[in-house]
Amino acid sequence: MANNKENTRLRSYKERFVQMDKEALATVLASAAVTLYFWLSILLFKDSAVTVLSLPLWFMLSCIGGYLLSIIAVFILVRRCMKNFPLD
Amino acid sequence: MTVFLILLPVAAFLALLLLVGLRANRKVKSADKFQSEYFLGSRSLGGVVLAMTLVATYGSVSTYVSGPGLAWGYGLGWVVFAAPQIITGFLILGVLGKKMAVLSRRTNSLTVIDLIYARFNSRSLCVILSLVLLIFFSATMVGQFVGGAQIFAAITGLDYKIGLIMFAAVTVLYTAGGFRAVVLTDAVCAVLMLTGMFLLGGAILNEGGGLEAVCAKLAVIEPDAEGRSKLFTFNAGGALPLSLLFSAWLLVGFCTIGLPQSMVRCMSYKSTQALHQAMIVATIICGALMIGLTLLGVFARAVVTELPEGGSDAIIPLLIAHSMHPLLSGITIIGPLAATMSTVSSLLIAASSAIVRDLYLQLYGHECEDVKARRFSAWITLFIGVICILLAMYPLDIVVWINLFAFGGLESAFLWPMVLGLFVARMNKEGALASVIAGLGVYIVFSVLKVNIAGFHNIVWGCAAGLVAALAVMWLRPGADRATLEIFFPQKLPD
Repeated sequence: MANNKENTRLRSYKERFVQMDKEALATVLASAAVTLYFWLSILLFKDSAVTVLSLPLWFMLSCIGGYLLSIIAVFILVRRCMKNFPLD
Repeated sequence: MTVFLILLPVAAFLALLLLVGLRANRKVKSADKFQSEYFLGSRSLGGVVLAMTLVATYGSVSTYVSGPGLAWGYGLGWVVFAAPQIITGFLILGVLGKKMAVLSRRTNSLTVIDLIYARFNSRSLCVILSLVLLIFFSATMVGQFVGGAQIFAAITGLDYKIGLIMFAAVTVLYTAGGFRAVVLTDAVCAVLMLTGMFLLGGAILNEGGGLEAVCAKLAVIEPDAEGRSKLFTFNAGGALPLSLLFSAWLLVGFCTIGLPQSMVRCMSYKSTQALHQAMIVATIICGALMIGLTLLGVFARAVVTELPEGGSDAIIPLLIAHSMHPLLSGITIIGPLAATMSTVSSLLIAASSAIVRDLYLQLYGHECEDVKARRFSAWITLFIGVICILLAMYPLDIVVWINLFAFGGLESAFLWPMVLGLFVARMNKEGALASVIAGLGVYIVFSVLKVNIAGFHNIVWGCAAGLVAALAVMWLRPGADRATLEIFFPQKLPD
């Protein structure tokens, strides 16, 4: 993990709350981005006759692609947005 | 002989769970703080166990049986319905995870209701929420027991009650050992749920002649005007309206933040590092299970071509019983049993904590020494467990019926009090009460009257009513007082 050490800038109780609000917002935005990608890939490709591994393109993009995108999104969240600090 | 081969792995699995549970129970006896150990495992969960228990609790017998059964009929459209669960693994951990961990330590809260009490200081709110939790959790446990016992009977051919007593008794016994026993057995269950899925997938693809052959068979089933199989359209040829598929993003996506059995896990891990790791692991396994099992239901259509007599719920048991070597069947059936047991154990320990901690000790101010509290908690856990087993043996219509609304009901009751309580300083107990009554009220009334507005699932209206009521009512009364602000919203106070 990129920042495994406790973050020295988040010493005070108050600073941790500012950080936690940011992280919660980032999580909701990441989920919204996945949702948006999912529906766009369905609505754009639902009539395409192309198949990937014998399954329709819209399905591979939205359900399988969306799953992979979620994993990528959570990696970015954890590495870029989330910080370590003591919980008590 | 066949039954014996099926039962062998199942018996080994049940013995393993009992062993894990007993070992965890030793910690309870040696812990300095009994309640923190019994209800939260002394807040010591690591990342992988946190992820596993979250997913195992969330994934239930319907993930294994009803979901894939529906996918058999609707095709890939039902995978679209289940797909929001790709975000479920990280959403609650990312939104509530850290705040609940920090605040529950700061306020010494051991249960979700404890924390809500610390925030709103309202007994009536907490009693209502405890009762909502108890009623819905009990009905869900009965539903899970029934589902697990049915699949056991269908596969082994043994009597429904024998299977029920076997695995339900084991579940109740190890759960009485406390939260640590629950989460460790959950971790075992999560692994076996995944194993069961892979074995089932292998059996279906094997019998169907490989992925290409399976898809070729599916492609010609129920074709539309353009010759496309309804199984390969995103809305099952129009059978699943867009509004219902959108609603799923609330029901099994965003609103899962409101499930109290998931929330309590946000108070039980040891460090931010563990939380981050859990977010990644939970996303990977939750998505794999939910998408994977539902997709297997679609593929099953190539193998089980006619709807069995027992309806779509009979499809997966049929496959496990007839498409596999008995020993493999025995290992695969552990998947749905593990899903059942891990859900029940988590609900049972939470229901027990609602009675012991929230209603008896906390809200009504009973003092209790640790030795007494330990016995009392274990007895209450056993008592609720036995009631649920009896109700699963002799099902009552009302319980079956409550179970149908439990998932959405819990979401519409708990979502806004917790989310607005932790993120909006202006939120107060009146807003929270209004939100619970309006959210749950609208959800239940609409569901009972079978209201259907433009094809949306009623969770949409329950959620919306809860939010509107909270926002409208909270402005009528003052927000959090200074002492509450200092704990819950230090960032809103001037330096």
